[in-house]
Amino acid sequence: MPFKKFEEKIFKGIMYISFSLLALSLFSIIVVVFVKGLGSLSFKMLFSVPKGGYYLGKEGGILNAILGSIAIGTIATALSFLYAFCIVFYINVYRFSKSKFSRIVRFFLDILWGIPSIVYGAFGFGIMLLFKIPASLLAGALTLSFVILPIMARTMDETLRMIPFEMKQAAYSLGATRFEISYKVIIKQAFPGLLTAVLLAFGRGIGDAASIIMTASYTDSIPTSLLRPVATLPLCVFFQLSTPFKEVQERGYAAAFVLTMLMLLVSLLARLSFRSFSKYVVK
Amino acid sequence: MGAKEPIKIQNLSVSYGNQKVLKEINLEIPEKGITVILGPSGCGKSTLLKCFNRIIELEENVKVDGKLFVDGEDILHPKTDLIVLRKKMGLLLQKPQVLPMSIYENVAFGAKIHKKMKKSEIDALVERELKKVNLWDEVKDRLKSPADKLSIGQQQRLCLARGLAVEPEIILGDEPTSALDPLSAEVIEKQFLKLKENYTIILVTHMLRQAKRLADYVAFIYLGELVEFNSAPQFFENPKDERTKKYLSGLIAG
Amino acid sequence: MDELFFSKLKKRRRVNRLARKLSFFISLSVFFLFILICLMLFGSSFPLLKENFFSALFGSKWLPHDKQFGLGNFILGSVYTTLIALLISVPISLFTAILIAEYMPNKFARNTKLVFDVLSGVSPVVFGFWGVMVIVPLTRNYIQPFLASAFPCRLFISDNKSGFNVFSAAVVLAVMVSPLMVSISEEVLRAIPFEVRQATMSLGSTKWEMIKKVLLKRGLAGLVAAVILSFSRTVGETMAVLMVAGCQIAKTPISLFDPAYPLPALIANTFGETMSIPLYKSAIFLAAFVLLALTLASNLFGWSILLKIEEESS
Repeated sequence: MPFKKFEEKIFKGIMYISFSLLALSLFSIIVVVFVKGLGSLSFKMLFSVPKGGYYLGKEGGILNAILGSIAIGTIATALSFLYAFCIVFYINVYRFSKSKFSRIVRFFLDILWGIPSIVYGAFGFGIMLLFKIPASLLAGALTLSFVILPIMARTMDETLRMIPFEMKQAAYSLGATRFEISYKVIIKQAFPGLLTAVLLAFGRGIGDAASIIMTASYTDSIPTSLLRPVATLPLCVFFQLSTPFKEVQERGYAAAFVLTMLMLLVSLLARLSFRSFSKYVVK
Repeated sequence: MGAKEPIKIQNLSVSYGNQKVLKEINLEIPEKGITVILGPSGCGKSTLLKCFNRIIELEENVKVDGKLFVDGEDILHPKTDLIVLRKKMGLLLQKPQVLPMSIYENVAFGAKIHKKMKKSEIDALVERELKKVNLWDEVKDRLKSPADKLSIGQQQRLCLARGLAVEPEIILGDEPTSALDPLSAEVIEKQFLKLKENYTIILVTHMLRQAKRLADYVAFIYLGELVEFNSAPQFFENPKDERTKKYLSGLIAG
Repeated sequence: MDELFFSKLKKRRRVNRLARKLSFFISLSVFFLFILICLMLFGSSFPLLKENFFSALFGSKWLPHDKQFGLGNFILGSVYTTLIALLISVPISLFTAILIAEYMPNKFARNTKLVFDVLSGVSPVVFGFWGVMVIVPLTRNYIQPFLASAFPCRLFISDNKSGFNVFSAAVVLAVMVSPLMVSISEEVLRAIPFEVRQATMSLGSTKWEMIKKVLLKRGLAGLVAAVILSFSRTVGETMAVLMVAGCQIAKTPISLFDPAYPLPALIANTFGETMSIPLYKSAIFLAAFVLLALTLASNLFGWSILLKIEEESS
């Protein structure tokens, strides 16, 4: 019947238009970041800190934010890794993966995953007020580590569940304790997946601003102490862009560019790490 | 070497959830030689085997009742030291499971866990065990390469070497050659015949001819029940139970 | 089995027991972390709730210096912006998902999903940046004037000509959340068994007819769940709306081109000023608590639908 074919053609057209709209929008983001960012990149931009006080001075670059993001991202990822590993290790090795306890833990990890990062920021802020802790690299990293914990744990959990049951049987048969199996066998077999988890969490972490705007504040200097505020790339973009000064805005463009490049790179590495680093992994 | 006295199984029952897979097994396994647990696939043989080193407990929804005496102790008792028990037993699974390490580390794995050893001692151990399974010459130049690059027959021999390295008394084999090519299978079978002088060996198989080749004693399990147990010549030439006769003449599949 | 073995065994067992206890308590802590967050936010907002529960949540007066705190406009701003974002995103995401799941060859589909995943993982601030650079001028210079003159109604007419408004924020949010919605919808469609499609197609219908009549009906619950989960993701988004929504106090957004001040933006903008006035602090924590409750409820609802679908199919 011609009408049905006609109808299909129309809707297929709508589908292609929708897809193109979405794809175009996403790509245009990258294009804008590139165009604006490349124009403002320079050696000085990447390797000097902003001058002129209160991060509105017209001189200088974004080194404070670059180093700050790396610092806070690394610390938060490390803390989160330790936390997530203990949880995932317990629910998969000391308990049956499908046991009630494990399922409840996973449920709460899901709940934590669904909490917006600004809420974590408010929570961290509240703790800071309660214990009179200043806004600092440490406070921000701790808050951020809670934000990325669910992602880290979820990816790790999926990796551990893929380890063949017979491998664990063989290791137990040789007389190993559960703890020994974890660090002698499971870590080795799951290594590529664990690396992916770390990279994905790091990528998500450095891009998050809502949780650290309240807990890590901002500064012109590079990170030197855990107890002082720290600059980060996302906040750099936000603050510099909202000023009316062109030179300051340029810093925002550069920060957006560096941030995006960093996140794309980490994302790429995360997906590639599955194939490399698997020398001893049994396939 | 080998178990010090026969392994006594008393009223052993295993259920997965509501399904009873082993029904009140009573059996005494001699401490010398190869005992083959024979029967069609899916009748509970592997389950029985996994009870010996309590690997069965790693699976979900499993309930084990009864008593199992190894060296005079009931190992199903909750107070049993699992590590000591498992060190006494070496397990070979149907599909060889190498650990994610080099060949060298695979063999040394169990031994290193139980005892602190010097590098020279470990080197000697690795060489000794690999020679026992006739693998040394094939891999001595690539001991540090990943274990899963070996052929499946070599992997199974590696697993055997790994199991022997912890100095067990008893060797358990769950269809250890059914995934292998005929040449590798033959090599493994020859190892077992050599090893039976010093170890108690319990093999599970559904291959009648393999049982005939290897067994000193045969226990026939059918649908979760122990049907018949006898020395190999008696079992094959004078089967007493109807079901045994049917199985031996090929009337029961599997 | 010698002495060395047994002494080492003792130590090994001790280490194992310690690892077990430690990791048990750490696993338990995820539950306590959640409870702690709820308690902290609720406790901090309690002073304000004690004073006037209803006006704090639903009142529209926000005059910190007069001690008047009503979250009404902000909640409205959040919900309004999110709903418009979903209005834009749902059709686009749905049709894209259908295209990927049903019409694209597998390899192309996989690569497309990969690219979408990677691109959507970009920082929310960068989305906001794109919004400021591209969407806001577009709205200000083309879309708003056109719609205001072509359809002069309360929906399109506004005093706010800056381009920073509900509409711009909604567009940015829509682009941010569409990859997630596409992903869930595509999975829902793929989960419908092949036989169902075969059966319908063999009766002589076109592919689109099959999709319309069968897949969309069977996948309806899952698609609804996708929308609900996208709602919670969107309503919690901070940076993008902060940069693009306008964020002007004391304006109730009615037109698409009025500025909005969503809850997350309020929290991020004003937390620094809260020190001097005690109730001000409570108001901000109340905003965070409302956000928490909103996203939690929406997530649980969406997950329960997905769970029911899974149970029914097995």
